[in-house]
Amino acid sequence: MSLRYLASRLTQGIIVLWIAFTLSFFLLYLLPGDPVITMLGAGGELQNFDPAEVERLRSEFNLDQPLPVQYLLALVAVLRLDFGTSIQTGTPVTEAIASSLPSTIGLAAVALVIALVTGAAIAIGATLTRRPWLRDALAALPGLGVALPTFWVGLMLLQVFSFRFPIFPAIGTGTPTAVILPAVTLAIPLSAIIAQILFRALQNAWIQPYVTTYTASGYSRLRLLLRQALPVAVLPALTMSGVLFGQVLAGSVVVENVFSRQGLGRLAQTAVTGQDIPLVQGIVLFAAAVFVLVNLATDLIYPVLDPRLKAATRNVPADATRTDHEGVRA
Amino acid sequence: MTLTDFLAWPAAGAGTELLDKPGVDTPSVDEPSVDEPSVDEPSVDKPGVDKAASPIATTAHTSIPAPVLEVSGLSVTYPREATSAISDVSLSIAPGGTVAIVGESGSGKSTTAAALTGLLPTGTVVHASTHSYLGEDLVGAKPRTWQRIRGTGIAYVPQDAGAGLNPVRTIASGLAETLTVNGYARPRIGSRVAEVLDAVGLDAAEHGRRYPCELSGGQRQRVLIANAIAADPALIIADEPTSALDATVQKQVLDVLSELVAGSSTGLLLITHDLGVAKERAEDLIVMRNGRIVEAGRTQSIIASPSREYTRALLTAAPYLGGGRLRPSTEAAVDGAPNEATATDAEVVLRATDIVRDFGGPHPAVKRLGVELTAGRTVGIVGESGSGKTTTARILLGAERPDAGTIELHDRELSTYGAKGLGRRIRYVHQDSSAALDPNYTVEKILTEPLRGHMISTKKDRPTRVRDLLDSVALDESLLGRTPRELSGGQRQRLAIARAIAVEPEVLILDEPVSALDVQVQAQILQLLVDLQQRLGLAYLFISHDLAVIEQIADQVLVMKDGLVVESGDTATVLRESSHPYTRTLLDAVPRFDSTAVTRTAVTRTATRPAIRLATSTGADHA
Repeated sequence: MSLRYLASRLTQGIIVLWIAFTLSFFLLYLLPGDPVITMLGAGGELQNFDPAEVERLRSEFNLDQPLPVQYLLALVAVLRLDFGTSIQTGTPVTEAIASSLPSTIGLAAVALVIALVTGAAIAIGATLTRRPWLRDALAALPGLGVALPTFWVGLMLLQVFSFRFPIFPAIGTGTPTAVILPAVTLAIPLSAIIAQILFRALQNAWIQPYVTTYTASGYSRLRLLLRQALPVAVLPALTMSGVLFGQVLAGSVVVENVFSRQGLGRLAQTAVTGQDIPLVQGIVLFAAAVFVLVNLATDLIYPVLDPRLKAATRNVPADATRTDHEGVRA
Repeated sequence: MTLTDFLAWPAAGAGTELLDKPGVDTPSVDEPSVDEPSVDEPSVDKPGVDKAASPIATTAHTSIPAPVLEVSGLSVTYPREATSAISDVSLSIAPGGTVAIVGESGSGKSTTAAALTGLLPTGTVVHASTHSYLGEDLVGAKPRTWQRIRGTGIAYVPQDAGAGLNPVRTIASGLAETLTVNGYARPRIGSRVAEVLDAVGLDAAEHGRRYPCELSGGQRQRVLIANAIAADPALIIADEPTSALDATVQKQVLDVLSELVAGSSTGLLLITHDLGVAKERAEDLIVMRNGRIVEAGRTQSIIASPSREYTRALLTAAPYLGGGRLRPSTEAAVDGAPNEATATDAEVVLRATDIVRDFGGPHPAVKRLGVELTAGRTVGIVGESGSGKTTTARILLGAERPDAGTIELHDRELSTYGAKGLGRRIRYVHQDSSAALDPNYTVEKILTEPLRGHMISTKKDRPTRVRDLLDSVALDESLLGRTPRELSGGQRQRLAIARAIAVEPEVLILDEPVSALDVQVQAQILQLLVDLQQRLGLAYLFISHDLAVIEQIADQVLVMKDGLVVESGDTATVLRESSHPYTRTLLDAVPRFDSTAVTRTAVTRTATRPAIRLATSTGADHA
């Protein structure tokens, strides 16, 4: 892994952040409504406000400037790592994000553990079983899991496990058990993605010649799967960790609202409805930054885990013999 | 099971020299009863301990060791297939003995190997009147039984197509795992890994911590052997263990296997398409075709006097050293095209001087190479993989720019022709025809495409021209609508050649064009190439790792090693009188028939050639 590669990947990451910032900025302006009005009163009774007060707030948030100027001012501020304050609450954006983060991280962690266990179990079970009907049934589960809307799953779980059988609290962040239902809700699409990717990777690994080699060496099916196929199959699954992270963020917006939990998703939702531009921008930048970092980390770890990539970067003209003369002519 | 088809020849190893009657079915003294009760061995932790205690040993003659594996009437039908892949296969392998199964692809060799290791896909129907391993009945054995026997009892060496070993585990950890599976105690594993790696000529400290992708093909094949022998099996089944390897590496790998078997009680079943390999390594030989045993018996006797026509044809087709260059079939020679008489003053078509190409490896891919291609003549390039053969080919066809040196086509620099001009004059035939032909195109489209691209003949005339082309490579018109996948390997290579000559080029660069083909098909393709050259006056650059093939087709030969031409000259002279140690190594590595067999096959060779010529002559009489 050369420094030059790292530098180019970081540059790409910065470009991604800039695009995310720009897109979210202009999209927010396309939304109907006025943030200052929204802030001053949750309603449309414009005539009750002191116009001078509205003007003061407008200029405080640079809202009185032409759009390009606003954009540049916002961009410069971000480049100076000044993310501003929330229009709605007046708290610094970084503080708002930081305070909502632990709850979401806790939720995501529990959900991820549930998703990994069930996803892997489904994929391994489907690969290992000799019964076609069971394999088909298990293989169909991921499709179902992705198709179920998160909010519907959340409401159903609430209905059953909080109201009909009051096992778990319906809302809130307080008690430790309160995390179970939201985490399960969030875990369902995650486990579906994990199961699908892993199942496909395992199936692919399962037909490789080395599986025959080790079968012929007396390995049991379970051992073959866990010790030979799985280490190969997790590699492609690893590249999807960025997608999983995106799924966690998107899911948390819905789940935290359904279950009335504190968290980044809830914060994002209220920020968007209130057209709280600095806060939305802050959250978007934060999410994009984490996304970039997750992908970068995956890329950096991958060659360490897969010796084939290490070898490939060393042998330069490896594929020189494969080109057909036909291609030269074109 | 018929008695005539059943051949339970006794052990050849351990000094037993019994019943050595060539070509005669041996009496089935040690044929176990079909109703033999199965032996209930609870677990095989110490392989080899119970071997003598098998019931066969007590019933059979004491002088003949009980066979490790005894099979008769074995037939296999794959799911959703009407006909059986193999039927009525019988064989017997003695402790310390080596049996080879030879046959072309589709003959059922590999199915036999899979059946003997219990590795057939689920749903496959297997029948056998006898299938016993050390006296244990394996007819209808459960997966659990197979799992117990594999590794410690029957081990399998697959052909390494680069994926026979887990890519993300180091060599040592893979071997350690196999030992764990086969009941080796942890403290013993480390030393055993070192032992088996040492046995296959690898160093535990150096190679053990590497990954498969960091090893060469030959080294990987050795690791596969190490993995097979790790738990000290009673029988090794090796399925084409050396087919992907150069002759020199092939020799090393086969030596490893032979040494392991020699002087031990381990039996070896060697599956190969190469009669030369079988001849050198196995006491007993089984020739298979279309899923059935054609002939079986002592290797020496079969090679010396094959009793079946098919075996004779296989022997005839097998390339061997000392046969000399192939002559064009008479029909083609009638045209009186330039041959040896005029060849000396024939025009030089392509001339390369002082070619250098360096990819930045330990040595340049090609250094200071010079070659002249003459109309109607063939220059062969021979060398191991990585010696620079293919890079040379790519440079000469203009696909790769050399770092230094000049290439002239008719005294004009190659680069001045442009891609299209070059494509018209120099054509390339790839080893892997299935990769070189568009799988979605029909035969007709594949042959029309170059005609259209180079604006050869009018649109109206093209169908006729395509048929002529098919005819010249002896392919039937009925194949026009097929896609490459629906053709056999030999037919595909003929198609690739037809496509190459479609634009009437002057130079054909043939990169291992017959290496992926069975010997018989290989012989036909070589004859086709010789005939086409005679008829069309083509200059060939023929790349091969096989000296026997080079001898058949090349007038001159360049021997390459590490990018350098170490020897060059007239093919016959180089092969006969070479003094260069590297050429000698290559020559020594070629499996060969002994002199009596060679003269015998040389005689039969001319006798059966018409059968092959018939295939190509259909194409030769059109002009």
